[in-house]
Amino acid sequence: MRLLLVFIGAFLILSSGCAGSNHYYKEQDEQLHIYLKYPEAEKVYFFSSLDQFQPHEAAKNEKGVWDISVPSGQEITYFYIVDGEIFTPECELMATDDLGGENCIYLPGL
Amino acid sequence: MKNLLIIIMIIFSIPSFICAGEIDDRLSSDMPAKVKESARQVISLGIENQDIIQMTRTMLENKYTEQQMLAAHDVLIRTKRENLPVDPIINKFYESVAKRSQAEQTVQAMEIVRSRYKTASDFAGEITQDKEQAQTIAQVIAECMIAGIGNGDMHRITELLRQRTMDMNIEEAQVFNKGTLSAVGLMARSGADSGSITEIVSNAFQRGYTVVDMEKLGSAFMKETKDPSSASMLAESYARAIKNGVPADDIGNYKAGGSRNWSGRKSPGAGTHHN
Repeated sequence: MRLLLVFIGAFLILSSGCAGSNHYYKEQDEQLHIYLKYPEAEKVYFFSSLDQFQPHEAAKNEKGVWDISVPSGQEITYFYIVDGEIFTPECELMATDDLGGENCIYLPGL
Repeated sequence: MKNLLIIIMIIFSIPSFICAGEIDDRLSSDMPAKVKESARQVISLGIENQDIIQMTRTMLENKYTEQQMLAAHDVLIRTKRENLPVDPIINKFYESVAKRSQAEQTVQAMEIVRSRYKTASDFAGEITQDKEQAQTIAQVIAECMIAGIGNGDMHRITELLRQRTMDMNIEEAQVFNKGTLSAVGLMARSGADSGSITEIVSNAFQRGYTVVDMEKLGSAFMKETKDPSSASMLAESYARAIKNGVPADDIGNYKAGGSRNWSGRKSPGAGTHHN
């Protein structure tokens, strides 16, 4: 019984870390991959401060996760346009965009 | 001598002739003359030709009125004259266009950014007399303000910093100012409210926190925050913990809503601490 409770507790702890992780980062080979889980979207564009907010079309994988890669090691302010609508996911770091909305911020090394 | 002076004047006026020609070549003929003249004025202040030409073309493509284009140029002119960074304002313009904002809103946002950097620059000047250091500090202050630190709280934080670094040499003060403000920015970007962050800084300085302590505080806060809605409660908890004498290394043990006297007794609170 005790073992079962420990197992359930461990399962809950592990799954709570994953639940709601629809936006995350991964650094690989000097590239920063920015992932957005949005299976129902048809077109996702990424805009960032790295290039004066030019549009970059994200690629979707079979699990409905959209991926964009940028050079790593830099602070980035960014947002998405998903199927024509401005979309800012819940990010760890955010700031006002002075336009009534917010942007995500990625800080390297954190 | 007279001939030499005339030659020097001609040489120095060549760039402006080239510039005027380039503006006429690269901005379409349906661009109002006043806007072309305004663009020349912006460029004459030292802002990159290409940036202004591209921005002006973009405004025309997005059907800005003549008045709106002149207003956008005017923000850049005032920015440059006040020795403030121009790039954040140009970036804000392109961000606003990408978000399909109205022209008026775009120009307003550009002005907000200019005003913010002006305020940040003034605050930086209160902390350090060194011009180069003031520029760096102003950038970090601006980032804190973009993240939500209000003018009043920013004023208080800079005053706390001024007093705290009074007896430090210039290099030490710079490191301390930058490290503390980076921690402030991190907490603000994580969603904590301006007032609670100011209290954290005040309590931390009273406890003699070093710059390393302040940086640990910022990182621990960011890691602890589950979401923006819990950030302010966590900030209050941190402020209490610091006031009660908790060292920076142990701050990460505190969760929102709970506190613990450092004698080891648990005081009433909604949350629990964990190691």
